[in-house]
Amino acid sequence: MRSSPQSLSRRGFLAGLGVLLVAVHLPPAEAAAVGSPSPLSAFVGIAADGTTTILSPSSEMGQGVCTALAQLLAEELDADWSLVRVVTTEGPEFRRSLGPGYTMQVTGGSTSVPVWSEPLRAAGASARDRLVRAAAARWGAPAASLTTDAGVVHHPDGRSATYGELALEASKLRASRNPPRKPRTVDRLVGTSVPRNDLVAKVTGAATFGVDIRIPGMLRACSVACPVFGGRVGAVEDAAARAIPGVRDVLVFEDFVAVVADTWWPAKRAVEALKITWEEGANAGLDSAGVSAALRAGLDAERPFVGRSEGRSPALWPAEEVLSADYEVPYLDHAPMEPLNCTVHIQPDRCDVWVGTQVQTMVLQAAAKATGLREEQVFVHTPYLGGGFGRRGNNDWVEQALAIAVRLQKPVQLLWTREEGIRHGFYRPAFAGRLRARVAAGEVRGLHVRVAGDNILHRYRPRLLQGLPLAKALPMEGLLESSPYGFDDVRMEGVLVDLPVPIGFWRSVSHSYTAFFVESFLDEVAAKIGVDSVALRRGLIRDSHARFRAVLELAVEKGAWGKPEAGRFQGVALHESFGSICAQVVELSMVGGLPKVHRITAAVDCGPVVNPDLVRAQIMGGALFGLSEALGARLDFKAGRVVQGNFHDYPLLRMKDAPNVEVHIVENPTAPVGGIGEIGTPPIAPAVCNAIFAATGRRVRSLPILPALAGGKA
Amino acid sequence: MKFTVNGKAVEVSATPDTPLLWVLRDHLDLTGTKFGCGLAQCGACTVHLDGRAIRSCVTPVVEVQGRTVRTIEGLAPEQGLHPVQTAWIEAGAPQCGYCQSGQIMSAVALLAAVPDPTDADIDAALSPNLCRCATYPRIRDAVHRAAARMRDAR
Amino acid sequence: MRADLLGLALAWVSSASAAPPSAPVAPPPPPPVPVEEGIAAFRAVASVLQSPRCQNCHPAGNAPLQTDASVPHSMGITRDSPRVGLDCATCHREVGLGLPLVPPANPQWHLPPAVQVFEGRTPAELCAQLKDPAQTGGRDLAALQEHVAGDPLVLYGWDPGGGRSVPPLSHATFVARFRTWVEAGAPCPSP
Repeated sequence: MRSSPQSLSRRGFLAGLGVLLVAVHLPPAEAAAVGSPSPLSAFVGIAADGTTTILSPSSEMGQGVCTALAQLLAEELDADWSLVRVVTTEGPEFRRSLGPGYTMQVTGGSTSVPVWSEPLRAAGASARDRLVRAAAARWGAPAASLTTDAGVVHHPDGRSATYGELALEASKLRASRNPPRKPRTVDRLVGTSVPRNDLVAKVTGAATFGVDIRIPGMLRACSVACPVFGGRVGAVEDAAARAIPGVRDVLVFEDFVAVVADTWWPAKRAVEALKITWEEGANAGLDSAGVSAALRAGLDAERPFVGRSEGRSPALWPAEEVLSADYEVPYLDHAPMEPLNCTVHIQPDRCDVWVGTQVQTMVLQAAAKATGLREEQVFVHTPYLGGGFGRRGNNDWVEQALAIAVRLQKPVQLLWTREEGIRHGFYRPAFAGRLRARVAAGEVRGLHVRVAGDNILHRYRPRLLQGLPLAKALPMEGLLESSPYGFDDVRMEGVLVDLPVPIGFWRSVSHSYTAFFVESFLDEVAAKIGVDSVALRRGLIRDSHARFRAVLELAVEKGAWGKPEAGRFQGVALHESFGSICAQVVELSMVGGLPKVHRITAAVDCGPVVNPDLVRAQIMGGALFGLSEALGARLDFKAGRVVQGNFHDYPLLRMKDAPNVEVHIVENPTAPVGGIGEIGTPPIAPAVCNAIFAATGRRVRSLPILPALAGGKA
Repeated sequence: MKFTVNGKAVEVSATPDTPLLWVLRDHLDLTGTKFGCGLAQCGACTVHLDGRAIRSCVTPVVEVQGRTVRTIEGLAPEQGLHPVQTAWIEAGAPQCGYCQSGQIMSAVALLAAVPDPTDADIDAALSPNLCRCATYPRIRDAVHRAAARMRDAR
Repeated sequence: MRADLLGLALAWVSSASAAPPSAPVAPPPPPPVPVEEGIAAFRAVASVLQSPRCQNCHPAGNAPLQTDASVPHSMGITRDSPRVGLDCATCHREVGLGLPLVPPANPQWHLPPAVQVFEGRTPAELCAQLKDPAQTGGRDLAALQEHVAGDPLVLYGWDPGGGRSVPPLSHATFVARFRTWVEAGAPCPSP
């Protein structure tokens, strides 16, 4: 028996007897806050047997969102949690229910709980109200006299009816304009660590990921694109490939070649047997040294974009008061464990696409365009995502799959090799940073940060995103108002360095390097003026950013700052991202000249907490995801090609190098709802590098750490 | 090519050099065993061959002729879960879940060899299994819980 | 090596049987191999022992080495790994795929005892070590000759697949040099 978040078809869902659907729209303010207005028409249905199906607008990629969003709705619905099922909803339905401002359905930016908390609670309240009124009508009793409890409506005289029994009647009632809400003080699901609803499926092999989709008659495809970005297919010699048993066809497209076979292995072997002459194009000269040189040149550019400026210009700082250092981070790949894949089935009047995506709307639009069908005829199914981290916010491989399916006119599943995934990513951009501090009389009076690199929004499709006001500031996330620190003089600048490398949203996006730059450099300053790292931060936190103090102090207390075990050294970092604040204290020792991290203590303030266990899991995973790349991974370029190709040369963190992560939550139920999926990632690299400095006096200014320490580049 | 999978005799027409992984996934539709790298670098494809853990992505099916394969789908008894699976649920180990079949099959092999493993034993046994969500601390916890469950059951 | 010895014996028997029956004399001793030639032969042998294909499985530390760069095995693999249910055969299969970067396959894949170290040793040290049965798993020189001539894992070194490098001498030359060294009285280079 397979389980998957999309296992219930939309039509089956709507056709179910006794189904209650509740339409909801995102309030415009919420919609504006994320730049992409509301994408949903219906969030919940209840079947006659009480099964309560909640439609998640977000994709489940490990972050637990299908559990957390269901908790929010089920809370106001007063649902029987044991009967709740969650389905990631589809694009067309979203689209139809939305107003003219609609842009896209997206799971990203740690926005799911912040954006959907209120709409889902409202949907739950509306559904509960209709169920209560249905019972009131049935019993001829005033609705106000009835109560609910875990999926049952109670009459004061002892009669009761389950939600399943009432659902059909309730679905015929009009929704109230202002249905009564439960007082937050009586929450019984929200704020508790109910277990994720995907655990059984994920420990039994029953969970269906995109790669597990099986359609009768489905062929398998493997593809290869020009190893040089932007290059095209020249000549293809495919005799050897076609001779491999099981191979059905070799399909040549403008910029990639695909082999189609009965099963995937022959398709993959056939791709390797192709002799392709590529027209490499303009980027064949790209190499790592060139990238680095371009970034360094960016640091010296004349006209930066100024994102924040207070006090005196750094140009006027007395030279003897200036401390300066340059930093650099490499391109990184998302490398989700599930290699990219997409299954397409085109029929005369419809197109079904099964894909682990973070952007259903882009899939929908691409499918309509590729097939010539109307968007209403396209059905996007979202199985579980075997990791996303931002990679599945792109649509490149989906477009390949669609092109193959259009050519074949048969159901087909495209699956990339790991090598194709690593060599054709949308990478975390490489960035350089120049940090300057004005230090006078033992105090930090000014901070001047300039970051230089490429801008994801300049390259992202749809291009309308480029017009957003945040576009220019995107590479400076974490340096602007969210930064907790105040100085007499502040200047934050960004320089666009146009590079021919595809880039995208990688877990925590620009925070992944701005935190590394600033939190490392502050430590340099602390060392310079002889102040404890925590004490320096305490002194710099602005009064307007008081929440940061509590987070820092909790991490300091729980992480036993200043009292490491013998032979161990500590580092600390503090950073806000996506509306939540995280501080981390790292304890490590040096073994053979390399760091061995023993302990990570994290404190987080994400505002109201829907599920503490999910928060702890995401902070743990986010920190270790950051540690993975901070330690060892980087992408290099040579002759226009990505050098790395698989996990032997793009080394991810392994268990032996993964310390326990202790997560402590700052209770802040009245603050705005913050994100949680990406928050743990930014602080870890600087915290580790600060601890390495404490241990060795060596300052790592270029990631990843291990090659930097081995090569003396630090 | 004939062999036994999860107690059932199967016969497949794959060429002898086809990796067992693709025979399981594409010929037998046993999709619980996952493809992650194709180079035995990530462990997502771990299954048991005659009771020992192997990486099915680098094992040509010719090697398993006449032998016995167990996959994640065959780990639990007909009804219920294997104690390692129960422990995994208790620990809340999975996030995206893609690597977990391989992690669990490797953990079962560890516990067969070392019924009461230390943290160091777990790290040694499971470091070849990558988890991009980095749920490693919870997997470690889950293995300890599994060891305790299996000890209690003895 | 057994085949070689058998061949020598048969050659002797046949040449002996060809001799006139009336003149049963002991065969002349083989011409002694000069010590210098033996030492030179051993240096050639050592160059093989310290090529990646040989020394990767005879490491100085607790972890096997891998790749032509002889770096410690990734993933934290050590001698201890099989104890925790992680056999070499988990990844190093019997037939394997023979593709680049796929772990090399051999049904016998295993590590020798920890004392049998090739990595980082001087030729003099290697030489002394090969003559010390405590460091050869009890093998005397004749048994070592058999090992280098016919052990499946030794032979694997010359057919590693996947584009891996092979030792600097052909296997036949390696075996011949080894024999020359033994026949010279197994002389060792000076330290």
